[in-house]
Amino acid sequence: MAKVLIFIEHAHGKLPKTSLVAISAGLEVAKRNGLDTAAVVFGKGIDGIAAAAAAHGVGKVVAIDDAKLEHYVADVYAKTLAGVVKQMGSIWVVGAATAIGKDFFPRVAQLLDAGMASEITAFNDDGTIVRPTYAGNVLSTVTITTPTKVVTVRGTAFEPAPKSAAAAVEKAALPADVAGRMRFVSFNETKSDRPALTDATIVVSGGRGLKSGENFTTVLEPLVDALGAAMGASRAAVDAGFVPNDLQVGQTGKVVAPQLYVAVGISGAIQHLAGMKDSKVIVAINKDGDAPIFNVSDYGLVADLFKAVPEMADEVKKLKAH
Amino acid sequence: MLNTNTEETRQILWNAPEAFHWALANPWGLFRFGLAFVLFAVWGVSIVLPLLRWARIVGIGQPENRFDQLGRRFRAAFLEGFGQGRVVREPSGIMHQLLFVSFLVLFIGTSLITVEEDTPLQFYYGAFFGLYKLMMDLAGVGLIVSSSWFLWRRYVQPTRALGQPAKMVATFENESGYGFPLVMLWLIGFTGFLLEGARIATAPHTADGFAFVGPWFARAFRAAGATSATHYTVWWVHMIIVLGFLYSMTSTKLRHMFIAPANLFFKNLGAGYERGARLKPIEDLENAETYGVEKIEEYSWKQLLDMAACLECGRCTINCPTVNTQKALNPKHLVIEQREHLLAKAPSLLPAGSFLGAQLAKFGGKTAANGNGNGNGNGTAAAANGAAANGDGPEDAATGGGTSIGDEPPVHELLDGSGRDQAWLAGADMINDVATQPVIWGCTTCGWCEEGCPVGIEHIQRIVDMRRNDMLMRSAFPSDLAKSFKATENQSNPWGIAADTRAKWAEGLDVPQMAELGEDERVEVLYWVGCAGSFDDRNQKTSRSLVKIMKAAGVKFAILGMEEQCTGEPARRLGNEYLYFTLAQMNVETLNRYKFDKIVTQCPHCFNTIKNEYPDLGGKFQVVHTVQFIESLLDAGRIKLGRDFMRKKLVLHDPCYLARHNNVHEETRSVLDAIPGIQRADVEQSRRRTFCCGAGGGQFWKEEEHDTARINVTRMEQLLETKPDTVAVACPFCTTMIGDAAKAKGVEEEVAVKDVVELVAEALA
Repeated sequence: MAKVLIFIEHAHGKLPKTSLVAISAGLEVAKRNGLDTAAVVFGKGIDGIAAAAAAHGVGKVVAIDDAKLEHYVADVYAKTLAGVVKQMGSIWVVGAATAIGKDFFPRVAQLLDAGMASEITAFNDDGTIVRPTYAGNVLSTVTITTPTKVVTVRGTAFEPAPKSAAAAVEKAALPADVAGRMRFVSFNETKSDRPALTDATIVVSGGRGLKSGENFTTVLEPLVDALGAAMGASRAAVDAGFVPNDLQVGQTGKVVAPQLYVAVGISGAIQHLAGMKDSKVIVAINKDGDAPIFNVSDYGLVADLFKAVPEMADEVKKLKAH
Repeated sequence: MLNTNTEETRQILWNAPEAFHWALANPWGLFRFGLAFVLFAVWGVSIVLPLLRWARIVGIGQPENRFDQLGRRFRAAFLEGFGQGRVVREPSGIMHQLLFVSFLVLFIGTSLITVEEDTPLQFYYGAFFGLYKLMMDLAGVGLIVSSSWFLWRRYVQPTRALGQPAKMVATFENESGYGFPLVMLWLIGFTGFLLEGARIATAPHTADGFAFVGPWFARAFRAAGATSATHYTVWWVHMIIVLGFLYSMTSTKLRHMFIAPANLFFKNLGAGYERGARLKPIEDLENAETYGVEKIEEYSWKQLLDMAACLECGRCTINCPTVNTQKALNPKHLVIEQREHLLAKAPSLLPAGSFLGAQLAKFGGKTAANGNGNGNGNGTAAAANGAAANGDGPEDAATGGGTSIGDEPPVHELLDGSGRDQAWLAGADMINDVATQPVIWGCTTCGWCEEGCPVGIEHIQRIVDMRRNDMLMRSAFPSDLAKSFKATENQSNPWGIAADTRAKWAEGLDVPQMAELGEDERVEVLYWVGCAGSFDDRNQKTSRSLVKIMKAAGVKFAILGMEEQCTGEPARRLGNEYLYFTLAQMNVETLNRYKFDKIVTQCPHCFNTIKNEYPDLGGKFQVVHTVQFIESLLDAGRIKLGRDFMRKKLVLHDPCYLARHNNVHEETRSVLDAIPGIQRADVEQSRRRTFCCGAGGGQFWKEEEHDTARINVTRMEQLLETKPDTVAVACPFCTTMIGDAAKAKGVEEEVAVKDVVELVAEALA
């Protein structure tokens, strides 16, 4: 019965890096204390994930394949995981500090009457645990004094567990009484074929100069797609309702630092500059030659964007066709 | 002593019940005074017990010295409490004043009868009697009119300000705490007139004086053939209502008669304009282990007294930027919900066993817990005990306490129909369940709630205390802020623009820097530019304009250049006291190294922090805002304004941290009025009643609550009603917010947004 239990989160049939980091943390705490490990996977139709999880050094994988676990629901997951911990008599419960981990691990700790350390970054030789506090200004060293110990791990704190020989996968039944008061209603995902704003190497952003949401589609998008770029927007464009909030680049919104940033119809208020000033090359297109965006841009074009942008898109397409 | 005078009067206690006559006839007055004593004693106890209960609850709070400056405190309690200086600021205050004065006149008038009856003084006849009756009738009318008006305003056509929050317990006080006393007051007035009428109609040898309502009732009584028996009945009815009213006074919202003046006595007399301009420093920041307030009992006693003092009038909401844009934060709702949480939790925080404890149990609607330790009997591990006390304390106390006192009162449900009850409220997490995160993080700290509050409630500190806990203990804060904090730490400005470019705006303007001056060289003005004036393209124009003005006036000035850092103001208002402390300490050290007459700031936030908060860190400087500085230059004739603005229609937007928090608003107007050819308009929301632009309290550095109206646009709409062609501002953040609002309204071509400094620079002769 594994004394270190690692919860494996998965999405779209894949094992994310954060889960491998959790495995790595679990393996480390097991090694330090001479304990055995098991990974636990929840979901519906999860044979693939269970097999993938088994190939990263854990002692075994416990898979609970049940329709009740198909979608993440905090209280059902918490009761299920707490049930598994009790069955196996685990001492350590390890998970990733993801949105889901942060959401239900405290519930697990509460159900087990266990102490918990969240977002930990290291285990020390003396058995203590390191976690950042005070907005990351201070690293605190903590000890969990309860018999059962629950931790969530920061996604960047440990190296992802490497591949190794596959361990056994055990199927387990859903523990009794996991019914909760929450209910899964629906999962709405923002679908996008473009690269994520914060990861993209090229970002093309539009501002109020585009005048309408429709122009984002008809004028800006051809350029975005021609460049294979991510699309962003200034706060003014978001405030005006042209585009949804998650495209906002700036002090409030996303901070980007791509190889190439193209600012179209953005005057360059400091709130926007704060979100893109670290971009490698900045290109600005604006009809107002005094716009502050030209103070930070490497290449500036004073022009009517409704003429310039379509021409630019065509040129890029031509160049790419060659 | 019976009146033997033959002039116009009435017989006191005529037709009163036998007991009174018997008491009156007693030669030693023993029973009479005995009766009075009993009535008074019962009244006293009925008044004092609810107040004592509150005193004990308030006593749960942490110590804080509010006994300094006693002269100012008595003055505040007298002028603003008894004199209602703050109540009369709103139109409804006039009605409150009418009710108050009527009540006072009736109270004094009734007391005078005792003086007439029980002392050798005799005056209750003739001209005095006539005028007395006039006054009493006027007061009676005042009482009926004002209580009717309040009942109408509350129950027939309630204003937005009177709306109630969800998390209130269904107790008598919460459901009828206003209606009951108002109805009683109305009935006292009405039955008083009935009694007067019945007396005039049926008593022998009685007079009307200049009474003008009683005789009208008397005619009705005569027409109905009333007898002394009728008068006797009315006498009893009136007496029972009056006693019922008097005995319930402090069990209903009328308690405010006592708590409001007390709260004003203990109000914040700190820096700034008597309100939350200066936040309370965290004591011993470097060694403290907990920061801010997580649990209700961690507030100071004055902050708990605030909760007791809230009359739910809702004036805090009138110009509140979040309430006016339908956001989660409603300062009135927050203080009420915190009070409800406090009341529900108090039994588990107070030791029981005393007489007062028993009373508390009765009034508190819940059995008093005899301490957490007892309730959790077998708890050995301190951690386990603590955890249990946190969540399950109240239930343990209710079931396992053993020594329940008196009858178990029912557990009330909340009024929000959620099925949750008082026990839930008692065990709720104050930050996440009672206040909730969007509420805590929505506040712009503009200070309207404290300006508007008639009883001196301090909202800002109470909210910032929770932010400090969220920020420094829980690391739970809006994610955008992390960027600004990191940027401020690294580049000493919240945008994260390279710190070495701080003085770049001044290139080519020949602006000296303090570090370049000779040792011991003194300047008249140390110009504190601020981050916005240094880095923001828009606000650099204001900085350059000020340089132009100072050069024209021949002012010897210098800037700090790279040595200047963010004052830490936004970090402080966002609860990041640690970051504020670091920055403020460095700035104070820098400033203390140099010699200057005064600091001039163009940002009201820098102004407020350097002026009101740096003294706590040993930085005591003379600080003026640009509008004050320019006014002094104009007064001294050091600059002349010549260019005519040709009937430019201008409206002034007062910055909160200048006009409200520091009472600087006439200086701004006097500067604008010195510019030739300006037609200046004011909106209703101006001076200390100004409406926030939405940037303060660190809101500039986070996203505004989604799917709600924009605060800056709401403000712009108010300003646009004056049909201006220029909006004058005096704060770089207002400049940005109002400028953005002009764009959002699509009026950026027609309406210019200009700092007062820019306008003055343009007008220089």
